[in-house]
Amino acid sequence: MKWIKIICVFLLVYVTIAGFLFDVPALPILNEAIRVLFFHVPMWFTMIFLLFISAINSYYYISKGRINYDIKSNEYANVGVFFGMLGIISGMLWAKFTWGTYWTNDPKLNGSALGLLIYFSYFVLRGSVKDELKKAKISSVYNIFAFAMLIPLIFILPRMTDSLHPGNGGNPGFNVYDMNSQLRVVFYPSVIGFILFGIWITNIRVRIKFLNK
Amino acid sequence: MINMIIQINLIAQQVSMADTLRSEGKIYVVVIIFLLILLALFYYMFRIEKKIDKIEQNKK
Repeated sequence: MKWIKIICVFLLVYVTIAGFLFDVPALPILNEAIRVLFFHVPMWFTMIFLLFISAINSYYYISKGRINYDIKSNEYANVGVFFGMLGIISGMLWAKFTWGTYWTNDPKLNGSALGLLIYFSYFVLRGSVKDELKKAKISSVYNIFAFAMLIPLIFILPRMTDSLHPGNGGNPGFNVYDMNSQLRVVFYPSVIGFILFGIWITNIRVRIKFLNK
Repeated sequence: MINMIIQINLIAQQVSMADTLRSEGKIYVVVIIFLLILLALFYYMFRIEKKIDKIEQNKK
């Protein structure tokens, strides 16, 4: 855990310096706003990663029945959705200055909003059941289905139609024009840095929950 | 494909970037202030963790 924090601090410090100072491709419309890529996309990567761990913990809870797995799964979902909110807000601001509007009815945007709504109802579901064991069991099952729903909503459906959002509309992942090596040297450290940061925050939250148990 | 790359390069030469901000060196001010905030946040995180450590030890 100690190394996760140290690597996280180094990566994020590197990302802030390199993200602002390194050369980026000069593209029309995007201009300097291309640097948002270093901060907006890692939010979503972190969300997916944390929600994946959350779903795995839910699976462990169902198969092994230890309440600690449920607490962990809940906190990973909490922090994951928080990163998703940051992703959607930063994406809206970026869209305002490149596409001209905060929100378009783009399949990628609607898909990610739907995915977040599914997770909001996960928290509502958790809050509405009083019995601890019942709550853990129902929400674990729901959590696994929520993650299974999130993947087609964010990754599959937007690729099957046309989309404004880069990396969609038939293009699998990032292609040559979306990302070059100048961007990659900052982008990948940023993804890893923010994922480690997400794990760090979750770890603190889980420890507080364990103390309150 | 090569045509497209050449086209993109041609466009790139006309795109306006924040060159004034960079030539004046003010971008370093932005970076330093951002770093200060980031490091302060990390310091805060470590302090919260230390408090949790203490509570955990007291509980044992």
